[in-house]
Amino acid sequence: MKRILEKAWLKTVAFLLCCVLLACAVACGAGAAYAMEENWYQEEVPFEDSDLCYWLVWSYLQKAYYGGLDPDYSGCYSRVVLDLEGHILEDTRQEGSRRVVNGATMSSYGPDGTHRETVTMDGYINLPLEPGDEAWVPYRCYTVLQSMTDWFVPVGAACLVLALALFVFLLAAAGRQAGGAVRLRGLNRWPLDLYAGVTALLLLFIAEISVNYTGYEFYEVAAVATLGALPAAALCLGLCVTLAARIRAGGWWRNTLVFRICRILARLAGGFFRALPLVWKMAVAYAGMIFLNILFWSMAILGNGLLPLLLLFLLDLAGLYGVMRLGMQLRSLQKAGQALAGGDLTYSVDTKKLWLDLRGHGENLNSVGLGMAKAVNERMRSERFKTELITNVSHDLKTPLTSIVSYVDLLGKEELENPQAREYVQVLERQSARLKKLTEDLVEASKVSAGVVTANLERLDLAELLRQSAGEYAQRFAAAELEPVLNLPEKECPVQTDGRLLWRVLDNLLSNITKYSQPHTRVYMDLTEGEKGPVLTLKNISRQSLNIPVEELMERFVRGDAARSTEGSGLGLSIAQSLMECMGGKLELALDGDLFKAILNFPR
Amino acid sequence: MYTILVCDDEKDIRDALRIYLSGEGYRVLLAENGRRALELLEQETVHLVLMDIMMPLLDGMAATAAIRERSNVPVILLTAKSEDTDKILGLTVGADDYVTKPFNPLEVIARVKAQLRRYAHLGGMEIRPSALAVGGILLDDESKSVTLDGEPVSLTPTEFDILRLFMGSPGKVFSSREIYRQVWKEAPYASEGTVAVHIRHLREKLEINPADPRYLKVVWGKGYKLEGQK
Repeated sequence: MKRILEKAWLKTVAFLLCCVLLACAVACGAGAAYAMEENWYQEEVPFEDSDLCYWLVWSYLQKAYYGGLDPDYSGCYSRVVLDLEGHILEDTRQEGSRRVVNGATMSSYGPDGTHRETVTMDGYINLPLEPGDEAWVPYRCYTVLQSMTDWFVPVGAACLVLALALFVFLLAAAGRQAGGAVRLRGLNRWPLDLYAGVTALLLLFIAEISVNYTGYEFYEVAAVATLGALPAAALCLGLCVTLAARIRAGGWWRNTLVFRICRILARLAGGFFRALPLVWKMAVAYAGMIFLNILFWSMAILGNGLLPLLLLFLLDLAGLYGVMRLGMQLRSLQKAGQALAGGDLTYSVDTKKLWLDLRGHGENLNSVGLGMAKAVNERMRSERFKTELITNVSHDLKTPLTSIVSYVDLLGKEELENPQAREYVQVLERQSARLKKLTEDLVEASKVSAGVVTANLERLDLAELLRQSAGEYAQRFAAAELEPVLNLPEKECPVQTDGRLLWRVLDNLLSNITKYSQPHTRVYMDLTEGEKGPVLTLKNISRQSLNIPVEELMERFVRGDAARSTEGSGLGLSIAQSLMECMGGKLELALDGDLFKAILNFPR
Repeated sequence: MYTILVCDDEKDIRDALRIYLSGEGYRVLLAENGRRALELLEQETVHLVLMDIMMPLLDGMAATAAIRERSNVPVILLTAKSEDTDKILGLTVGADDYVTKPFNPLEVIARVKAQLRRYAHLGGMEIRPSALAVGGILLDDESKSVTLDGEPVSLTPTEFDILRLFMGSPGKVFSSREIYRQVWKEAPYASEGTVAVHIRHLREKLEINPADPRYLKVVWGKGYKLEGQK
């Protein structure tokens, strides 16, 4: 079934056949009407009694009287001319002449319009008619038509039914292409209204021609109608089929000139409106509302009908709807802004529901969110990468170091006969210990500077922490022959900081102090209230004169002793500074002669 | 004779540990990854496991967790990760102790000995009512004696008092002032600094590595606490 609907040639044949059948049906209808007119259904009417014959004879009489007839005419017609008194003026009758027109009155007028004469004429047809006679063809037609009288209605009905079936088929098949696709081709692509217009024009043209060529006689109308029916049927059928095809393809209204023109106009207006700045848009929209309002009000006042009031009501409803939609859109944008500000970077506004500038704004918000989310992700990835790198490097450094430390220790326990060898082992021991310390500091410094270390800030007592640190270092101070002096406030000194990190800072600083201080001096640890918060100052006397600027001391791998002979990595101060910054504090160094000061500033 | 299983993917470290441990008279089994360690544990009687964390096939954390499912043999983690989170994770998974690489061999031996003593002796020891026990520390108030993993520890009277205070409420944070008030029975007057010194001494006596204590921990800026492990 599908296949049949998709065959192009079949459809063409069906189309033509349908047109022909429709024309046939019209012809049959005309025939039936003619038969009714001629009374054929009641009785058999001989030619000479028919309207056709009457008309033929009548035109013969007119020709004969008014001129135009050959004087020696001897055809199938004949006449008897009588004057008003009944005298026969002329008689051309032959044997077998049958009177058809009885007493036709003819008058003639002079060139000045004066009446000349009036005669009555009787028209005759000479029977039997023979081929070659003027009336032979009409006669034959008449007799044949009459012989078909009983066929008109059934044949016409059959044609009509068949045509209808084909019509249904054509509608069902319209637009279908091989393979089941619905596609429009050829004329179906014409704009529908153009197509309809052309069809209407052609129909008018056909009607015009038909009217021009038809006479007043019924059979003439019937014949012309029959002939005109064929192209008219084709045109109407074509319109129906293309409409069906377009409806099947969907959106039939799109391919119309009216739609296209409206769309272009709407686009122009829309484009103009869109190009306006937002403020102007609002102004134009509001001005439009006011204009319509005034229009409807004046209509209501002048015309006092119900319609303007209804329109006013609808206008107000539309205004309310617009304002509410606008409010909802602003609300959704507001929510998106709040979500973004709150850190929810995955939040996105549904821009499809937004209008004009608001949509642009929504899209901007979305892309801000996306961009920020991307940046945050990237940042997190690089942080994770850094952390992993440090962990791995630290592992890879520590593993061989563990072996070195262990085997050097084992070597030291071996019985070495050569005293020099024992000395070498001692060097190895010392240097591997240094390497160990250096590695640990390096990993620590990388962690701190990569931002992997995060401060866990909590409220704690700085004085207590200082006492604890001093306690931890009591022995080492004693070993370095240093005397710690703590100047702590009477009360607690609360501060927001990370205790463990701060201990690492103090550990680094105090370890430096024990390493680089002049023996038999005091180490001062003063805790005071500064302007911005607590300040902790560590003071010690350097054993060697420090001939490098204080700023450089903070840099990595810079050490107080140029020879770098003492234990240390040169990273301690750098780590301490980074850790202090990590906790929101600050580490400053100051040098006054041999007096070395480390000043730790804490935020309150 | 105790059997110790050493599990590390680095052959040199395994060998070094074997040398140290056999020097102490232990029988040493070696495994190069966590899976092999689990196999050896099935076959042999092992009294202690030294386990590296970063290993192929089955890492130390997973292996420790697997060991804990079937046995309570002491596990000491050897780790190159010095992150606190790793230590905490290791202890949570079921390790008894940890040593960070690069380690001091003597420290490893000390920790091994401590764990073995606890594992071997503590179970059978009866605790008198006057005694307090936290982890491997046992404090007898009557005899004024303290033992760590079964070994006697000699403390000064002040250190003893401080320890008794801590052991009375394990996990509680005591500030220097509080300790001073409770132990010295005096109002603290700028002399709390001495508390810190005493605690440092106490830690040196109780801890294998005083810089990384297991029991007596410094809560920086707040005080000290005694943390009791199971």
